[in-house]
Amino acid sequence: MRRTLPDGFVGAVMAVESISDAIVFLHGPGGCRVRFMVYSSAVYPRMTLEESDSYFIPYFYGYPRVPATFLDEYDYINGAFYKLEEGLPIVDSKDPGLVVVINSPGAGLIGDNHEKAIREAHMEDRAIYMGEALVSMPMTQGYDHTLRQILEHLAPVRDSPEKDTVNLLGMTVLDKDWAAAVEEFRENLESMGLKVRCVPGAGAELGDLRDSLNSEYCIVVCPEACASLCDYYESKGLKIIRSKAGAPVGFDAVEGWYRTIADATGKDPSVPIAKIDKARTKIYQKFVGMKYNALRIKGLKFSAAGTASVVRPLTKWMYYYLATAPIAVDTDLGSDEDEVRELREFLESIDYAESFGVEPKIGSDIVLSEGITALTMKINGQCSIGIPIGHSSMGLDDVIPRPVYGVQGALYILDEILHGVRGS
Amino acid sequence: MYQIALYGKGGIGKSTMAANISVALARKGLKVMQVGCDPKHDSTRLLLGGKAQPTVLEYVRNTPMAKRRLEDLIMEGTDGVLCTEAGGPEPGIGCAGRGILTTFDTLKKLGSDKLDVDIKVYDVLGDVVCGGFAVPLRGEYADGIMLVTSGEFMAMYAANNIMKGLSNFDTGSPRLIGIILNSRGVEGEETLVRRFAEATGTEVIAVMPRDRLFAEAEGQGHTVRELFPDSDISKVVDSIAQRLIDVSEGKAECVYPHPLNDDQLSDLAAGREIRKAESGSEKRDGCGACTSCKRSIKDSRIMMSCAAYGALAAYSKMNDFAVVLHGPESCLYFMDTSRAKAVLELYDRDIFEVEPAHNVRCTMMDDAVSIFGGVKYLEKALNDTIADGFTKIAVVTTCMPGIIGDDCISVIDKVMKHNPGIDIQYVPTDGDVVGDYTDGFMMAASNIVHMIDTSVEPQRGLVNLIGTSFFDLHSRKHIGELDRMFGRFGLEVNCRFLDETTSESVENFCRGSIDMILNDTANNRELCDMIRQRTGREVFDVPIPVGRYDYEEWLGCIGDIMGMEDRAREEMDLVESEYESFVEEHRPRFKGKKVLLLNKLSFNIDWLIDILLDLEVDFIRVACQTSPRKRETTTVSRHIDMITQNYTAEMMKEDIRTGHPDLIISDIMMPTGGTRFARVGKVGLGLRPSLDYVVYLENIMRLPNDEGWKKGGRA
Repeated sequence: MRRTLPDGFVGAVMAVESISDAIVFLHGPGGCRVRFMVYSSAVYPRMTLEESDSYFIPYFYGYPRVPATFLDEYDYINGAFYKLEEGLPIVDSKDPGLVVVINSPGAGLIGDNHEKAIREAHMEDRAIYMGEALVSMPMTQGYDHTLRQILEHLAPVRDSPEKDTVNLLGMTVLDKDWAAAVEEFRENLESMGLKVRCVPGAGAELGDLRDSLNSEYCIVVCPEACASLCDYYESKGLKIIRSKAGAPVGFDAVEGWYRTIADATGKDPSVPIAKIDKARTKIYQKFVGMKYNALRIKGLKFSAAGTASVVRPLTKWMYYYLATAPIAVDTDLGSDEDEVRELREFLESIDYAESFGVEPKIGSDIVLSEGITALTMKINGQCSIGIPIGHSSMGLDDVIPRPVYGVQGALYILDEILHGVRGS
Repeated sequence: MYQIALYGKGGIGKSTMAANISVALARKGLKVMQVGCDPKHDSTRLLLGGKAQPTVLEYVRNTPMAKRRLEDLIMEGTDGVLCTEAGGPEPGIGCAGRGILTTFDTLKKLGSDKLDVDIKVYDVLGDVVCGGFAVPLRGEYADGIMLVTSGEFMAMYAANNIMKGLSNFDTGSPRLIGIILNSRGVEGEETLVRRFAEATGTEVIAVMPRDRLFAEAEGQGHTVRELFPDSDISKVVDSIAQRLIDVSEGKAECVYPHPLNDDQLSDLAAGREIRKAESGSEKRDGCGACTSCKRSIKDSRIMMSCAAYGALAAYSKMNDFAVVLHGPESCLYFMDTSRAKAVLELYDRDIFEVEPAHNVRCTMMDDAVSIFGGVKYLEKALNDTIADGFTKIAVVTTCMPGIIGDDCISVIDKVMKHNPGIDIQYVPTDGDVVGDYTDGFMMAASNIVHMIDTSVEPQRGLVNLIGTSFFDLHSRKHIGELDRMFGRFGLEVNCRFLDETTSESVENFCRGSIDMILNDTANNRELCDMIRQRTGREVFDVPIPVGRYDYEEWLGCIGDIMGMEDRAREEMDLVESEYESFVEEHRPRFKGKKVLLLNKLSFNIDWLIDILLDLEVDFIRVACQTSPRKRETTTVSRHIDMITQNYTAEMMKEDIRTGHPDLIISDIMMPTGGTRFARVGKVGLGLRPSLDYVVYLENIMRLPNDEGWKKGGRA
């Protein structure tokens, strides 16, 4: 099934929205604004009940997230500099730590002078303009690129580096239940004696970003969403840790991830490893206790689609841990080239070469992909089990933690599969 | 580094002039860079021995961002002048202005500002035709501007326009260096251009004679300044170069020009004395230079949605249509996932009848497409969609193709010609250019209306439903109730326009003998008008009823039409009896309660006003908010006299402060604070759902107003 994916424009806006004290000022139509406004509030809710009344002002029009210039036909013809000039001080009146002006795809064609508007509002110290052709980028690249631009604007200083502190790189607020994953990583890394100082792109505030340069290490979660951040931090003297197993998805890659971190930092990973083992034991008991579970699952056909560093460990885990057959494995644009190559080589090595680069297939028993594809296929009977593993779950559904990363992520995927095969 | 921009009408000789000046500056010992900003990309040719160089835009199109390097874009020409060319699309397609924006952005990102250059020369195409071509006028690029003109009227007209553009980019200090007259041999040319210069408050800094040496040097792929350094032309070029150096060193001054208005230009062309400008005659709406006519966002129509989404949604109700969204993937992502998510959830809850389809495609426009045009992408997307088995396709345009002017109609005609039997409908919404969601929906609906075959004969007992009410009456429960209501009179639904329908159903719309409006909204009334015009038939405009009184009226009308008055009377008696006993039972909890009822302008809630009056509530106010969509839309209600129109958030605050309502019922504004609040919501058909809604209101008044979750983590 053909998949619908976000692009770099979505990535850029959401990267800014991931920073609770920064705000996007969207130079674009209201239609673009509304979707971002809803999306941002859904994946990273943060408004209080008391706040909404104070946003019944121009450019916000009742909603605190993603104020916009509401471009219309007049503006496309005559330019809308006047709205930037008028709107920036209004956005600034809400005291955001940083305003990031981003063009909608159509606004990019007008040629308004954003820098001048920022300059004339005397906001050079707290406003930047993203002038790039963001729609030409994959989502992860737009996200990564925007965070890097923000960091460069903040120009943090490595003035008091602290041993055994880390930043987690490559997480986004578009990741399914990202906050639960951050929490799990934070807790487990702390059990190893590593303090998580900052998670750029997943809830970090501007102060955290400024302080992030004082960490000793940067640990990569999903390399696609942090390629340029890695370069940035490395150039500032931070050590980058990246697991060869890919993103921590599925028990094996999660274990590999913690062991890689332990090797690089000289720390003891026994607490997180014990948690993984405990989860494995739980699944073992479920399968042994209800032996038909394993029999029902073994031999099922699955499709997996998403970022290569997620799909590779997921595919391997589904193959080795559950003995399910990868009949369609597809990677998103902007995937890490090494990850893509290794994924292809893996499929070749297990005699499933023909599955590489194939979008989720009708007739799969299990489809692991972004939510819309997985659920549409499930509802239409094109697969039996649809498991959202990517963006677009819109953040509305999960109260009990159900991320994709970490031990909870592995249990979530297994939970969905077990529920799906009941009675089969 | 000092930066100058040479502007002038296309073909006036800017590139020749720029290349000569660059060489002259280089020979005075300066490090020079020349940036060609003309889509025909020949600015630097004379500096490169007649060779064309690869353009920035070609490079951007073919090279991933991570692999781009500045050195790939810059060549070294005569006397070490660094050369780069923007390039651009073929004439007539794409957006060359966007190309200039991308070029400047790319060069900046790759570090061109850090090059060891003393002076940068931008050679920019003729008129300031759009924001893109005006980029070099911005303060961060051009420190000084030179205009190249001849004595021809259009050349001076272009120069005058550039002066106007310059005033829109005022940096706080004058930047116009002066005019270079590139002679064309027009009679009295120098006098004319000097008059123009004087009238605009600038000066002619050089007069370049018409000379065969230009052609001779260009024939060899070089500049006159390089091949004939002792010529008179080279002396003039050197004087221009010296002037630039003087300006850059503060030894010569720039001026603020006073561009002429159309009448003054006519005087100039006719050789008459140039009349004085009327005060403010050059002020234009939206110009950055003046303050008296400054626009504000308050002058805009605030639209929280776009027409493209509305059109997509309309065609999504046609189950056999595919939609090709001509635009970037972001638009597809948000429109399709928003729609699909809602559909999936409703289907999952057994509310939708038709299986969720995945029939939206996208042309995936990116920056390169926006520069070079996207028609080829549209053609491919259409062919792919046909290959996927669709025979009916709608093309909906987003902002980008609208702004760059893609000729979608030609593509659609071509594809239809090559694929007989394929129906492609075109909805040029251009994002929000034509309006918001509803405008786009109506544009699409007007296309779909034209599918109705008016030669089809009506059949007694078949009813068409006209109207749409997003995620409401689609529900199986409500459709089931509607079928029951129709069944009492032997009626069946023929076509639902527009709800979960098909092309065949729409084509056979006229098989229905009665056309009924589904519910009384402004949009549905508009749909009825479209259908009335198409079919020439009158629409039975008593809406499908909600609540006792409308239901009784509807029953009476249907009874009359079908000749089944007794059946109608029987049903009315049942309704009356159930309603009276309900009101009697629930009145004690409502009587005397102070209620503030707020509603959208376009929705009729007479049923709710009726029942609240019967329950004897004390209305503080019944009000409608101004519709941002249709300024001409009026409220339709039997209770119009008691409705306050154009209600605002400020008025609501005042009503709460002074009226102390027990309950606010609203579908438009959700107040904060301690007042109990209930959504108006959309109820189903007939009597029972309206009574269920009253039970909901009753519960809202009995339940805790401050739910525990509101305390957050402080509990």
